[in-house]
Amino acid sequence: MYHYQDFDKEFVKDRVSEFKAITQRRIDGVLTEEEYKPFRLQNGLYLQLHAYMLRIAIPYGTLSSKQMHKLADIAERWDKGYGHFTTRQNIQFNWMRLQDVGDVLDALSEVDMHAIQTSGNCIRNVTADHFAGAAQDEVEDPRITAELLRQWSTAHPEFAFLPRKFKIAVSGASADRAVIAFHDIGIQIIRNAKGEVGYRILIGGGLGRTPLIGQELASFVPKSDLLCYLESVMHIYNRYGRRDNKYKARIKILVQENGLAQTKAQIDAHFHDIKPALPPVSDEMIAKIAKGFAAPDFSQAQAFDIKATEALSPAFAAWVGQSVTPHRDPRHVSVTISLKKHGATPGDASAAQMRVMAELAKAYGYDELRVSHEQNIILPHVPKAHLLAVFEALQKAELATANIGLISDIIACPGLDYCSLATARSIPIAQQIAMHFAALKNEHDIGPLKIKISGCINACGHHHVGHIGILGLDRAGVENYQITLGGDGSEDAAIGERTGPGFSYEEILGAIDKIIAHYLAARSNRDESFLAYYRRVGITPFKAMLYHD
Amino acid sequence: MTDILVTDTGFAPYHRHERCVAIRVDDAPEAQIADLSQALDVHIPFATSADGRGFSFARRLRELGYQGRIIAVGALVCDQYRHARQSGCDGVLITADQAQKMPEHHWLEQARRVPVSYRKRLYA
Repeated sequence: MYHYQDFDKEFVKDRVSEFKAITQRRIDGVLTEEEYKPFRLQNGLYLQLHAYMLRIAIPYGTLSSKQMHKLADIAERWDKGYGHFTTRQNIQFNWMRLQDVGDVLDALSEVDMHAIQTSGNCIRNVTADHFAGAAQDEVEDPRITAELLRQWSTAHPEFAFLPRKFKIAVSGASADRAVIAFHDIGIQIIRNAKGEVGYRILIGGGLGRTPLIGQELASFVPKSDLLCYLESVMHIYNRYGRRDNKYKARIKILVQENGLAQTKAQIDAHFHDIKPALPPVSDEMIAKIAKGFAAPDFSQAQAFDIKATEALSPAFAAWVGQSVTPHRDPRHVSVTISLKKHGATPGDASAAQMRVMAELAKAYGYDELRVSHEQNIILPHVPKAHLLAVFEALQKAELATANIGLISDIIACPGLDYCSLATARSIPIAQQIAMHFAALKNEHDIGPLKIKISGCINACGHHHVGHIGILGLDRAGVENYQITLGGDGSEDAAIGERTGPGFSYEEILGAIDKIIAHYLAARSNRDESFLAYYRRVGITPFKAMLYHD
Repeated sequence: MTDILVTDTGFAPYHRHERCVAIRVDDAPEAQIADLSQALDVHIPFATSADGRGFSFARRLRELGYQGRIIAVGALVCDQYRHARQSGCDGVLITADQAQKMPEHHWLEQARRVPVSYRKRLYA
């Protein structure tokens, strides 16, 4: 993985001292709260419902064991003993005291971490496929590009006060595991007909109040042109993005209002204009970055037949069935660790659990961990021979729930339990659904199903792309939950369709139960997934069943 | 009251003169560049400290070949001095009230900082 060089360390140190000085200016009254806020946010510090929340950057979701241990230390020393992994591959601590933040940032800098650009109207932490470097369908490790973008966008003077936040995701594979179609800019690494590797660029995707699928801005941008091209995208957005209404300020609205053709014409014209004066980043610099992502030496691992071990333990076999993904090296697999134990808060991990995962990565996983946007943790490279040992250790730490990709592997935003923007609770709904289907013991029968829950219209729980999406709203002081069906964040991107009027807090579980019962009764066979069934029959039977039966 | 021009050397009184041209941030800089040929100073307005459009305007004017003085005018705070300078501005124009609230030493501290820059390193 990418290791900080002296330069990176110096940058983080410089940035921490800068933020301390800005904060002192706020304390002294030199800066108003309004003036201070953009700086506070750009350094990851939110004011939530009950306390300050610090969101820590985990670039492209990649962590070492040492870094995970440090997060555990922070959870114990400065928070309530746990942390919350987010849908943008970061971690947030929800119970920070303002006076401790400087110390936390110092602690993070000891392991080359920080909270820079995890919030605010700037280019946010760049995300990437969580199976990067391990996936079988990969053209190139997307983290090389993501790291280049991290360096380019960090403290960029022109783009620190944009109309609104700006999110970039990179995928290096044919399957989209980074939800690139729902980012301001989505980047897919592709190989063209000549065999050259470059980028397909999507623009204007997003969720929130106005869910839109990203459109193709460029079918192939050569590698050497990427930064120049993105400079142009950002420049046009900064100039023309709306600033009169924060709900219409994302680039997706600019593209929607002006049309893709006009936006593309402006970006392309600017790109051709600035290109002669903006040389590409040198091959030497790119090679330096790429070196940080060189694959571990897989050759020492032995060939191993998991099937023989599976036969010894049904629990192990069930866990393997859900948690293990084939690896590009046949002696290895990728393991997804579920942070979705039935009844637990999705995405939360205790300090003790973080330590267990860190130690497993160290002992069996080439010292590497990933955070997935689905709020789970990945060990990307595990020799098959060590799989049983990994499972047994995870089981002891209550981290071996065999539910990856199933109905209880739910994404939920913090909702009204933490968030000052929320209009309804999300976490308890997720807990109820998980407990309900765990009791019925039919999760595996239901099969692949993604439920995503947001506690307000800002859609941090990505409900629009849930196979079943739940949106919690406030209707005259009462929580009300709308259901959408058929959303999909993958390469077959789709926005879910609303079934109709919402359901009360007490009714929502019953409504989900009805939807599932209908699907189980009506699917053509066990191989027809919920999403496939929905695509075949549409929303009508679900509406009839929910509102008329 | 006299406005204050903040540059790398600190505060100096500033009198608006006839050859100051104020950029309109609602119009394309490309359409305004011809109007700047006789300008002594170009002023780029910042309506609020959260509105960073002016940084893109400054940079664009430089890309279009404008070599005269560019001054950021309005609601910027000292912690944005580097953004203004690195985007192509020569200084920041503030009111006497702003200067009183945020005295010279705050701005000088920022002006003297040599920020660690990824971009400089990437394009080295």
